Amino acid sequence: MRRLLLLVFLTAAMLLGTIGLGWWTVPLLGAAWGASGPINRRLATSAALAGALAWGLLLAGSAFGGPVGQLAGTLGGIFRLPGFIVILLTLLFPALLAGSAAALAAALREIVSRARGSASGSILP
Amino acid sequence: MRRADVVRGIVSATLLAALLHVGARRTGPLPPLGAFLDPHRGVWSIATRAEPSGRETAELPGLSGSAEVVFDDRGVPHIFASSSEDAARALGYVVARDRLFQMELRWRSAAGRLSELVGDDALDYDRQVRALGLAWSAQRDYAALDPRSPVARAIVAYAEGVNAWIDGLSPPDVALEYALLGARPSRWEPVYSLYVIKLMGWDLSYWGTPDLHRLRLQSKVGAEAARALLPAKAPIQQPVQPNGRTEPRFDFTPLPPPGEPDTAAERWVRELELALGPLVDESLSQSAPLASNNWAVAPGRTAAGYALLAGDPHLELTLPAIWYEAHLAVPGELDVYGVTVPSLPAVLIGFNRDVAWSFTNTGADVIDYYVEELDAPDRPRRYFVDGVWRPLEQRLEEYYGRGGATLATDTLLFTHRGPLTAYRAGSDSAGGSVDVARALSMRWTLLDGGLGELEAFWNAARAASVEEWLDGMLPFAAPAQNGVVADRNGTIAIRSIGHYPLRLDGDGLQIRDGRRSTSDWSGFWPVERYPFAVDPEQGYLASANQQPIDPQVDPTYLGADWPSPWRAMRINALLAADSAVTPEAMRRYQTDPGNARADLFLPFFLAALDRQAETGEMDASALEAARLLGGWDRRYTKENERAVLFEYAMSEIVERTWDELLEERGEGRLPRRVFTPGSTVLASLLHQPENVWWDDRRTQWIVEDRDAILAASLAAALDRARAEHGGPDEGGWRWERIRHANIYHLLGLRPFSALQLPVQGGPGNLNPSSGSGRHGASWRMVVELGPEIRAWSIYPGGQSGHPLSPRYRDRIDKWMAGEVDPILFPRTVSEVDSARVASVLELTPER
Repeated sequence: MRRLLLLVFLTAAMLLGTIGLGWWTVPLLGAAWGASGPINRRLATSAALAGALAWGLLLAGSAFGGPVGQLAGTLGGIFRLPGFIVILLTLLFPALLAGSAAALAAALREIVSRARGSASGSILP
Repeated sequence: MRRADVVRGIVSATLLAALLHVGARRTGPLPPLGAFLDPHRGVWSIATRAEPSGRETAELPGLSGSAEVVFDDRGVPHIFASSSEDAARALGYVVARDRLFQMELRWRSAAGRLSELVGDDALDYDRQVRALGLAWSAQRDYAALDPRSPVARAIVAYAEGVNAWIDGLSPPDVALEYALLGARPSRWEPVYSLYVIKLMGWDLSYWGTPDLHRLRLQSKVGAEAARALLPAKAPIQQPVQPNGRTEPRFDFTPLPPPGEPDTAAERWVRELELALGPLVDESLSQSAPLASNNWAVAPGRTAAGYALLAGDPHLELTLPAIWYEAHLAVPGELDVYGVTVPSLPAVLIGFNRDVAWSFTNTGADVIDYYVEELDAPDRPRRYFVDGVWRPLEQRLEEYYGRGGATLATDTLLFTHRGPLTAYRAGSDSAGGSVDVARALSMRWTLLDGGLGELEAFWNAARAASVEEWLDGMLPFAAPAQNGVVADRNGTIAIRSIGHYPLRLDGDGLQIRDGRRSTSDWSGFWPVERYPFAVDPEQGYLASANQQPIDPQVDPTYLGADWPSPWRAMRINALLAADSAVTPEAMRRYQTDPGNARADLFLPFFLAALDRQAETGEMDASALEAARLLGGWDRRYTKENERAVLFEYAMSEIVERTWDELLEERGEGRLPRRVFTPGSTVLASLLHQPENVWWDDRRTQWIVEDRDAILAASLAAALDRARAEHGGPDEGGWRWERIRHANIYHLLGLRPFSALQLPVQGGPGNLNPSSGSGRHGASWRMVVELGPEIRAWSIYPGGQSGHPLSPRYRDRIDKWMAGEVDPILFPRTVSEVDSARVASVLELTPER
């Protein structure tokens, strides 16, 4: 339950960050998530999910207000792709941004923490 | 430290860096993906852009009082303001709302600043357009402007309106094209309006190519033949200014044989090709696609007894369209309806409560090139005139890319005549071989200065009679236009308006000697000599880019290589045959499928086959083609199945007749004609059956005459038609499957374009169809000047420049069908038919 709430929180933060400040808040929040969250394998996955959900919700909001499908088809025509690929890219892009930022931050944290551990002579794994 | 952590860190860092890179910077053709895909303020937000509806209000800085804009069901704004300045301000605001990207693209194209928007791919274009002097001239004009003059105030007010829209832009309102380019709209400067006027002038001067065409011909077949192939006196005369004949006059003269190549001309060809470079689309300039029509009928020849006027300027067709339809009303001062070019605070073609007008291009020769002697080939500072060295005006041009980085700098040089093309060309990497000691300067009426055009449009909108309109148009300098006008009193008139150079030493058909001031223009024609007619006995007036004045009436040189008069012949014939013209007939004439060119050429084809049959030299394909064309009605309707055969025959005859004009282009490339003479020259040649031009020199041991070429052309046309479209009655020959209109988006984006549109008309029709289909009737208007003005119009596209808007291309189907919409022309807001109101925008002064 706590994990789900955290995911909702992260999604909301990314959504509001995108609205308030811009797209670059997604990797920033992903990195913060990776640096501060509980270390486990799902860190990057949950950040990626939050990124995709945040932009997906914003996209859904746009779809209520206008012809997103038509626009996707048009953009697909310009880039010579099927329209749904453009929508997938729009979800994939924040997912990869947030996921890679979270994974990098977590890896750095792990490296730093291990370096500290070995410097203090810890023998614990 | 575990190796897995390090690997994971490296992979994540690499992926993140790559994503941040493509998110923040352009990658190939892709815009920065972060801002682009951002669903809140990126490209997706555009989907939430709402079409205006109901009643909206907005503050507009600078307004002296409230202005009300009623958008009708065709998306046309009816602007009711309390002053002309406020009307211009409101117009700037609403045009920017619908067409901001188009406006930015246009002014940047004229100013040579496209690289800042689209990147360094446009650098070559920018350098050449700046060397042409359009921006130089516009900036001089603007600096010399009296800020208190009404035109200056209108330009400034218009800019304020545009900027008010830009300042209030929300993400959904930003045009999609900006998102694709990763750019933001830039603010509008008043001088941009002048840039756009200069750009229109360049287009309507056929991109400066007439001299280039003549020099190319001269370099191939000598001066005498070149002059005959680009005649200053059109072989078929039915001029704009009626010459007292209702039928065209055929002045066919013997065509001199091809002469020796002129090597001196060849040097100038290279020079001009470098100077004009990518600014010229050769395929367009050779086929003269700017084929506009206008005509007026006096009350005595109309069914209702009121004057009628029609106009359809043919220009490049784009989406969004070049025109924007608008109605400006200021009580007691202005009440004008028509089309404006987004960027200009004026209605260019239209009508008010008393007068209607339209234009066609005159095509006069108003560009001359001078060979200048420079003091130093490498870094010239002076040029030589009448034994005296004069200083060259220098201008440093800097070119910037998308991010503001300097891409290049040029020093442009100007004589008192205009820009020095060769020095710039010589400084090009491509022009390294050009001898800069013999530089060309260009004199062009449009670069001379002044704001006569905007002043003229300002006056036209306020004219109360034909006489006032003609007086009001006097400041108009360039590009010269055949202005047809009619008023509610029943007067009709036409005048070829513009500045026509007076040359002391003959015509403008050669490169002029810049070392003598006597080579300079000595002035311009007085207005009394302009081609002109008012209330002619025949009861109608028409222009279709034909030679404006019969050289037997006034032989003074005005230009050469006049567009073929087929359209003029057709409309004159239609008007002469109809003594009770209706607005519906005027509309029908605009897409009339009859064709004077086919009427003239087809009998020659058929007679040639008859003669061949008599001699027994029969080719089965030629005979079959003649049989098929013998039953052709010579109409270019969509369903017609013979027009294609005739067009292929015309194409074949050109290939076979003008073989002397082919030039080799090196290994692996097909020879190319240096220029294709007009079809009236070919018509003239039809009357000279033994002329040496008929001989196809590619066929050794055979000397062809006219009949042989006509028969061979017919046979080849049939073979080609069968090969490309099947048998003649299998459906593949339908004209609608052969020739189309193609309306491309301004950036050439296919999803935003309307392509392969079947239309009625072919070469030489009143609704001509150029080969590429990229030119056509950019606006069709019919006006009846009765007690109350009634008018109808259409243009291919729609009022909105937003590709997702339902108004982006909502008029195309009607335009294709040759239909027109009835126009609303209310005097006041309360007069607007409420059933036809789409939305209302109330503009208020800033609090």
